[in-house]
Amino acid sequence: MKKFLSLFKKNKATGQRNTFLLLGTILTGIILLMVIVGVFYTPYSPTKMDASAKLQGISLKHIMGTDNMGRDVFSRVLYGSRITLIIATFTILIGAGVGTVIGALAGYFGGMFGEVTMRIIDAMLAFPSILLSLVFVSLFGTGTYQVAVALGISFVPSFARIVRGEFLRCRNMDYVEVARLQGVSNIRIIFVHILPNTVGVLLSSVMIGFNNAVLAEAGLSFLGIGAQPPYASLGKMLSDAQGYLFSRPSYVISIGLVIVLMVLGFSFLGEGIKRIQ
Amino acid sequence: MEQEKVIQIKDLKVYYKDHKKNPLSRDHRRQVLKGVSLDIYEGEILGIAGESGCGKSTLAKALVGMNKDIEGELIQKYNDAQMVFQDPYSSLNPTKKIGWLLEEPLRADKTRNWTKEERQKRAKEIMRAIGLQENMMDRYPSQLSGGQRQRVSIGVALMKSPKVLIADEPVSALDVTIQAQILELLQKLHQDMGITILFISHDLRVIYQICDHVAVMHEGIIEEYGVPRAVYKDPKSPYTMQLLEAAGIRQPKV
Repeated sequence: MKKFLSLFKKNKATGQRNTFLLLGTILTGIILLMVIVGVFYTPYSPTKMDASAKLQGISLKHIMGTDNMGRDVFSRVLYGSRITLIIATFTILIGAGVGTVIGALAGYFGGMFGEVTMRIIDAMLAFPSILLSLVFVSLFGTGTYQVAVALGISFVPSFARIVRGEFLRCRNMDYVEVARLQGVSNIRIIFVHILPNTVGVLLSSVMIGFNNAVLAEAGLSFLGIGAQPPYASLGKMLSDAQGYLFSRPSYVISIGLVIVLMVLGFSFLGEGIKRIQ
Repeated sequence: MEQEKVIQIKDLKVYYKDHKKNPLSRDHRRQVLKGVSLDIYEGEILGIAGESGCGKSTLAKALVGMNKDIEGELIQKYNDAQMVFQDPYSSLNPTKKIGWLLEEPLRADKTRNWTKEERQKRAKEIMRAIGLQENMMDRYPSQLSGGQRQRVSIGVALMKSPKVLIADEPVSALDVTIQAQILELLQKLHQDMGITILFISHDLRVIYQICDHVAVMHEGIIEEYGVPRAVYKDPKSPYTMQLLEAAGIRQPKV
């Protein structure tokens, strides 16, 4: 804990503060707090409609206004950011998990196996990831978890490439040869000896991937795929709100701002982690 | 000294694959060792000298089974040879603590199951043998100096008490005062544990200092073999002569 806190203090040697890490932690903290509070408490029910209070502006009663069906936007944002976070988390778990294993095996063993695997990965990369996830969504059907799986699969190639690169770098290090000489098994070398050495790179790409997942999910929701009504993720809400861009700008802007804060928080966190050392 | 052979090498040839330029062409094999014959006697320190690229490291790697593409005979009495690498900055995993690194060979030991207490006890023994404080076991390699790291590397190799230790340029990456300490450590381990050491170096003075025999390698073959004192005094091969002159041990004839 003490070590963790010291990351935020000024570095004694260089006199510099890791501002990215600090900002990233604060922003991510705010978002996480919103999500956790949203589990237990929302000012209004996120699904309760009120025809008499449609499209209201920002007021003390509704701090982000109301939407076209009179639902409280702030309550819906609390709920929606939870869905968005769940989708993004599952996407990264699947993408980074599968991608790491594929990249690790391809990088460590190399040869014919590595080449064939990476060419398949390259073929997947050739399609835009949003198109690829659309294909998978049409296979699995729509819904929160189906979207997460579809996005996760489309995120595998980028992680596989990053991890493979790291493994190619580490594979010929002397400490790997030493481990091999001692009779350590290949699987143990991959996951116990080499993988911890790729954590720095992996962690910051997880953070960047998290952002992309939030944005990709917003994009998919915008197309009407993802969480189904009456619940909505942030992306779905944004697409609902776009029709009122001129008549009630606060509606669109408040939702957009939450997405921006979320993405900014994670990118700062990723950049901050990259700068730890 | 007992003159039993621990390793007999007969006409050993080692091939490397050349990087293929055309992925469809067959791999091109390049011969790196061109028929090396060498006996290593029990309990000796054998020095292998030669310039960079002459095949010293290739020979070492062939002995521990890291080169697969080999021809010729390789008879090992114990088959447990361990190796110490040149660069102490890359031979220790930076994400692991010293204690963990020392215990790892025992965790991977297929011949017997070591309990946690046994492993820790053995690691402490080795820490004492390599002349490091026990409290250093909680440190990471980055918190150690180059000399200390090389001690740990030697320690890792010694964990399973091998009969043969191959040291591939163990002191070349260290500065001179630390070199002397590591050489002293190797000599001490050699005396205390009766371990046979294959000492690879390009430094002829160091070999003279600690080795019982010396083999001079040049372009994949052994040019000369003998007791250092005799070889240095009266080299048979012109290449050895050149090496000795370059090292300033012999004066060139005018």
